Amino acid sequence: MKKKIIVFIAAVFVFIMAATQKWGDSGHALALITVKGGKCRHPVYLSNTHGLYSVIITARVLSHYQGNVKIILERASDISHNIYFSEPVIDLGFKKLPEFKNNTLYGLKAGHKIALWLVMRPKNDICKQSVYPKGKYTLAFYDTKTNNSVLKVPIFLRSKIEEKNEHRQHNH
Amino acid sequence: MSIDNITTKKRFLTRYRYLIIGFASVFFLPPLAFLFQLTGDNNFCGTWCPRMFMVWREGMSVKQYFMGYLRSYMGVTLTMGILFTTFFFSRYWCSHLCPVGGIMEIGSRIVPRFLKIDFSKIPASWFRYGYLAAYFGVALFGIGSLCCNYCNFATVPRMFGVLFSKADLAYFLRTAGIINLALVLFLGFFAKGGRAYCNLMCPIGALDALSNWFGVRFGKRMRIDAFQCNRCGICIDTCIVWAIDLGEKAQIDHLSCIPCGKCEKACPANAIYYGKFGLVK
Repeated sequence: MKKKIIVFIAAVFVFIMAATQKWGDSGHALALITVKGGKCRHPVYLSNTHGLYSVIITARVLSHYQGNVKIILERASDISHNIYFSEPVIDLGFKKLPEFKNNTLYGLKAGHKIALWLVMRPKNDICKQSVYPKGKYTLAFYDTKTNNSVLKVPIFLRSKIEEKNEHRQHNH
Repeated sequence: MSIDNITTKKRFLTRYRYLIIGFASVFFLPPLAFLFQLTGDNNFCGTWCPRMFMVWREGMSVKQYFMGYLRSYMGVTLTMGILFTTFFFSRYWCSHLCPVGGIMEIGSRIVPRFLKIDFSKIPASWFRYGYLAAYFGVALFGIGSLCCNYCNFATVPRMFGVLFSKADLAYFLRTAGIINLALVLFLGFFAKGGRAYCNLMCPIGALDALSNWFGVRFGKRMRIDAFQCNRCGICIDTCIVWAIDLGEKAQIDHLSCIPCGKCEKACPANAIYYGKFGLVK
């Protein structure tokens, strides 16, 4: 019985530790795409010490929106990136899904659920040294017809010191 | 119904179990992922998520909590269906239909025996409910989350998807993805029986096991006829979820048992059967 209780407590402890661990190289943004500019539940915070970052953006399309959407990572001069759209490998055609080509979603309409992966890599400087990009980046979704924003996902790349300061402020 | 009819039916499900898992995998896993496409999805995340809706997070309102049920309505239906059927018929989802656990088990059969890790010394139920306590507790107290960060339902389908899709590859291009992959390999493919992940770290499995345990007197379960048992211990070796204990009296731990039927098939004394409580051979 003693062994069992120890195992139970150890499991609780291990998984609390696991749950609190933040790796800082990936994030998830939950969002809504609307004609009024969209809504992202919370920004994505990443720590800027990694060589590769990935962010998943899951969004639903609301407000009778219909159109094509161009996706751009703004302020991305010091970072190279790729956007991948999560779609069925073999589309059985039960539901008409948007098509993704050249960072543009074609045929997006209300009711669609989309999942995109943004993979970012910091560019090397002229001495081929890794640079640590910092600050706010925005993954912006623009309607191709009107050029209006239908969603903006803020992504913050922060240094360890900034993360600690944020943590301190949060605790006070 | 006589016991002979019950065991005949069971033998069919035992004999074709891997085939049934294979069919279920076609329905759930890439490249086809047939069931998800019915709702415009392509994996367990989102509408089909069976894990996240039940977790109450710090600062959440009642409305927000139940909105989670609406958002994952297929996941809710699936989970409720699993718990309901388990209460009456035992954990057939886990043993025959779950593409995640099933694939790990089939995968472990390919791994050579000398590479396999035996987790059977761990008291599975105690570890599992420690995990489940943390699973709900960390979200409730705003400490963190175990929902998506350590999710077998996200990892296994993407292990297949990665062959076809760069989006699924992106899942593994991050520390959390690598850790999830390691967990699935370590506790699944390289585990003896292939079900250590299911037995230790699956929240659906943990809830399903509770339903199995609560319904033990009402529903059909794998059972041991202690009088017929010759205590040879073959069933202990064959059990993939280390649920059998011969102790003073042979018994099955219904908090761990899945009705895979391996013990029933292996028992030389025919002491193990699938049936209702009190049904003695």
